[in-house]
Amino acid sequence: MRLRPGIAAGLALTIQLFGAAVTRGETAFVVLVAGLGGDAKFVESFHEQATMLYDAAIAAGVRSDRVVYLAEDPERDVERIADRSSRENVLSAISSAADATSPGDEVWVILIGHGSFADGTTRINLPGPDLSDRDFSRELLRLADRTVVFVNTSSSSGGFLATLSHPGRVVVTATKSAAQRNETRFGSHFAQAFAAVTADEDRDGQVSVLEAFRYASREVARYYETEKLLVTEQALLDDNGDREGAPNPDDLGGADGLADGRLAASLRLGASLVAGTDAAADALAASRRDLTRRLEELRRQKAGLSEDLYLAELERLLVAIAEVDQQLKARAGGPDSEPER
Amino acid sequence: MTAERPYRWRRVLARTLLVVAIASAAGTAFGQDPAELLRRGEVDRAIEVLTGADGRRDLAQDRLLVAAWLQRGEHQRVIDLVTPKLEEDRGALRAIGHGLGLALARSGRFELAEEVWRKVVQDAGPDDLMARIDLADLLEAGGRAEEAEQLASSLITAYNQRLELSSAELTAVARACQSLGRTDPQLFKDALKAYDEAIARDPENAEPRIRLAELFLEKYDSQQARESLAPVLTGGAPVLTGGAPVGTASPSAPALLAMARIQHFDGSPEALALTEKSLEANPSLVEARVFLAQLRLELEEHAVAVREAETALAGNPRSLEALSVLAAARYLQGDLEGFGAIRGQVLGQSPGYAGLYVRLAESCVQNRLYRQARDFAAQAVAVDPRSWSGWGELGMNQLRLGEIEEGRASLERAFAGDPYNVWNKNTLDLLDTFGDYRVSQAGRFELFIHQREAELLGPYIGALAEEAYQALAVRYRHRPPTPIRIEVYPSHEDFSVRTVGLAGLGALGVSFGTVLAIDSPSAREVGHFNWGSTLWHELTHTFTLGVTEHRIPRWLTEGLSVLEERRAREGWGDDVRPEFLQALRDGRLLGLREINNGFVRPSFPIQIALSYYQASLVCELIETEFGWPKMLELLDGYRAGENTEALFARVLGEDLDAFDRRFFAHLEHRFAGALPSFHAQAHDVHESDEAAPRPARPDPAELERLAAERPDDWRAQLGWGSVLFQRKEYDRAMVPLDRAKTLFPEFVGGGNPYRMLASAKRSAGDLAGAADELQHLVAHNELAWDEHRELAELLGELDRKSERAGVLERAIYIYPLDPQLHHELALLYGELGPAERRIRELRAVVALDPPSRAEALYDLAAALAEAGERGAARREVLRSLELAPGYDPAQRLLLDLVRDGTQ
Repeated sequence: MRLRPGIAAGLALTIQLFGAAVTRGETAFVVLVAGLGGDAKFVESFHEQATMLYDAAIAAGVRSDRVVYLAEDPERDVERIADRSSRENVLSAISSAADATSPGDEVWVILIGHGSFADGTTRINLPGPDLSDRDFSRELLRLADRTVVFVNTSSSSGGFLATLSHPGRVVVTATKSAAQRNETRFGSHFAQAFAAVTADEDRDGQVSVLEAFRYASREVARYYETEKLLVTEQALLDDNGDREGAPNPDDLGGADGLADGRLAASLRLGASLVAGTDAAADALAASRRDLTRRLEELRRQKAGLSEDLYLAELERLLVAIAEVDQQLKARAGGPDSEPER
Repeated sequence: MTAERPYRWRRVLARTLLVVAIASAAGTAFGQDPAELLRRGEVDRAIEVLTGADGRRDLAQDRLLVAAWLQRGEHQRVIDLVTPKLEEDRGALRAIGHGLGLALARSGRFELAEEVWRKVVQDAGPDDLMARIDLADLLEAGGRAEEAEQLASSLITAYNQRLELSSAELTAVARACQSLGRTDPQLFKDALKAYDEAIARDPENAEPRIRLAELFLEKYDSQQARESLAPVLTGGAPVLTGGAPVGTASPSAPALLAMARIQHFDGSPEALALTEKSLEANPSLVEARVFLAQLRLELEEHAVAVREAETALAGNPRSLEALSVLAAARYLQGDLEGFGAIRGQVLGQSPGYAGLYVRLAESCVQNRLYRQARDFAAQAVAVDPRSWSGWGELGMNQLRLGEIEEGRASLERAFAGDPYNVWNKNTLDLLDTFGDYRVSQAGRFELFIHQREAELLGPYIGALAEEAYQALAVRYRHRPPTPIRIEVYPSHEDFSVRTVGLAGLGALGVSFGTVLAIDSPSAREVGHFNWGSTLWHELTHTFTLGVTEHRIPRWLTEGLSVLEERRAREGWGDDVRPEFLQALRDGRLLGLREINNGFVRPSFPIQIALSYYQASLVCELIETEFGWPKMLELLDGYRAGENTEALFARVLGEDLDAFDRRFFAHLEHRFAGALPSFHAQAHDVHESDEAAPRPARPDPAELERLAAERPDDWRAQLGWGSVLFQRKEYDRAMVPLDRAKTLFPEFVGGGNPYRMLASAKRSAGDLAGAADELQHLVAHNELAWDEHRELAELLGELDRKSERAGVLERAIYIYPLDPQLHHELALLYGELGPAERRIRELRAVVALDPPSRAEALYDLAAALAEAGERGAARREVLRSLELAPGYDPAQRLLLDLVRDGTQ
């Protein structure tokens, strides 16, 4: 990997100094890759998407030296772009992420660009040699004990899903198969999701991977419907390691909690607020976690309950959660503070 | 029947002898050879040659003459020629016996025909198979189905014995398969195969191509039918008649008739002319005469239909088809006694003939009598439980009457018997999707809306339908039975199948009386459909059909529906368009006697649309000049069975000619501003969406000159104004554009002056002026989505909130699926009130499943709480928190509501 002077040194230092990170900003690492654009239109679009994600990560509390953005032309934005998005640099960035993180930390790898599919292999097009799904699969082995969010928004990206599917890993692809070769719109909406208030479905002030996925999928569907076009992309998400992506994952992971969506719902690009610092606050936070768990359980059982019973129980739990949250907020200093979920 | 070896030898020998005979007869010079003349389509010349000179002919020449006379419908001549010869010459039966049978059958002498054909079959000559299938058809029509089936089966046996069959014989086999397809639908495939073989055996034989086309059409596949028939019409394949090798290079009567049927199926106005042409070729072709009568029935010209049917019966008094169409005409005329007599005659002749009731059902549908159509179809399947077309008609009409499960069962039965009927299959496929629809009650209405859209559309559709019901009930002094079912289809193809069984219908809505179906706004491109005016239009049909017991003429029910649209909301309903004025100028608008043709068989592409508008103006004129009570009197008269001619004379005191004169004078007066420019110019506008005046890209200098010289020429003013606008010379452009607007204020098509004036005024900072222009535009254009949105934006900038809300309300009828529209309206009603409208709009936002659903639900809950609906608020806030348990404002609202003790 060839990083700009200063960045490389800074990165190494970060790894040494913050190896035992204690906040979310110090446990997350983000690798953004904008591939070969071809037309100026795509070069611009890819950069725009990567910039949105870069800024969202920074705004969410990820330290700038832990956000590595590689692009076709580093001179385009020397403030943000660390280096050229060559095969060698991309692999090196992932390797650095492994070095800079510890087991249990989060590593986000987001690929933006054109994909291709030939000879049974799917690739992301990069300046110079491309990288295939198998290349990434090998490289991500280094992150086996990290929680990895791997997003490929390129055309044909569906071919990556089965290859990269792994327990503890969220894999998002813009298409359902390698055969969907047309230009995709998913990436643009996925990037926008992290800046769009409307993507934050549960209004907790943060956008989870699942929320971003759902937002982008919805916007893509709306686009094709409004324009009366044939749908040429269908995004998938896999986070249970079963090599099967889901087009409509939910935060409960289905009725049994084993389907896709549950892990993705818990991962957010950025820091969560740390809960209380005293025993009473800890007790409230513990109570909140318990109530949240019971709420999820209730929602999972919804189909089997009468509406009246469900609503009564729902209200009981939601009132309890609201009361706990209001107490937590009061202790934290005001209503603007958001509770940990 | 089992064929035996001697039978086969007899056939081969017989054919050989006949070929020798024909060859000997054809020894005349080329050009005078009657066989060749017939092949070239010169039937009359062939007859001349064959009957000229000394009048002596051998049997082969007689065979040619019989074929020629049959082509011209000269049945009696055939009978006169052949009957004595059968006595004199033992070979005559073999050569011309089958032709005699045809002449006898076609003139209604069925018993004699049967006798002759039986002899031909017994003789096992060259026309054996053709005689068998003709005999089978005759027996079938006479109610002797079992024997008919045995005969038809014997043709299949003959085919399976791998005899060397001619093209005509293979055609007979195909007909047999087709006939037996009623009991075993797989045989329809065999029919196709046999027709294909017949065509391959002799590509010049037109008969299998014509019959194949008719088979495809019977299954509602006009494209394949057209392809099958194409070689015949392009002169490549002559027609075999009566098995004789005669033909015509120009289309024969049956070919023309088949084409007429295809054109009719595809909605082309050429059907009528083609049928008449077919009758010119063979005036005795009963099928053509019957079809002509059917076409007249569709046009609601019942008396003309009666005449055509009677003419057909003069040639063949026992034609079941002709009797059936006559029965339908009598029924539609209200002559129940005459109808009963004919029905008795048909059933006496053939007690199991379901065709009578199928024809009655079809004719009733064409005249919007769906209940009667259902009842006739039920009788069809009662007399013949294997009448698959009867089951199909029954099912379709049950569906039209809202009897969904019964309709499905009938169609399943039809499909089981005839799985190749596209109409039935499409409809069953559609019915399979009905589980995706939500049925809900909204006052007097049963709403059937796709579950994806039901929450959003239901409240708007229910409210508008209720408003329409109340208004129309007062106006028509009639209250249709409820519930009225409204079906809304998010796919236009599904709507089309629901309506006509096939995709591709151009309409937007349909009313079967108390069952309506319309496109959902999501089925159409934004700006091409106003669901509100469409619903109002269709509901008006419910009233006008109801008040006349479905006996209202097509033009009147459509005219009243458009008129009621215009009365319901400003800008709704058709408005005058340049093409209408052109048609007025050219005398192409039809008088009242013919106006139905403009709906049913348009003679130019836009005639249907113009007819709707014209009919609405007729209704408007009756109301303004004679008074609304006279309109109600007319409707009463139609219910009583009176016809238009008599009613206008009795109620309005004017015959139709006088009324037409009054109407056209009214049009000249009403459009006096715009008409002069249409009289002055040679070039026309052809499509409304392309209606910007484009006089062959005129020179701007010429336009400037014309505009100066002709201040009353709308086109010149608009053309010159457009040039100036495009040059951005806005101040100068306003003068001719204003003038164009004054001359033809209703013109709101592409390139209209309002749009340009609004832009010019907006760029000059005159927001109020721009808003005025757009107000005028939307007052005439119910589809202008962009202009409604722009006007709303302008009114927002001008802080004219109430007007803005009004414009956005109108926009809902164009495209209610825009979340922003509802969001803006909710904010406006939050300020202006009333609370229930704010709540309605917030519900719409929720129904559109916005990404920020939790927030939308909270907004709704908050509005409900403010409006005092705290119970509903509590439910909505729970839905919000279910998605976002930590959402602070929603938590606070919930706690507030819980503390308040709201249930």
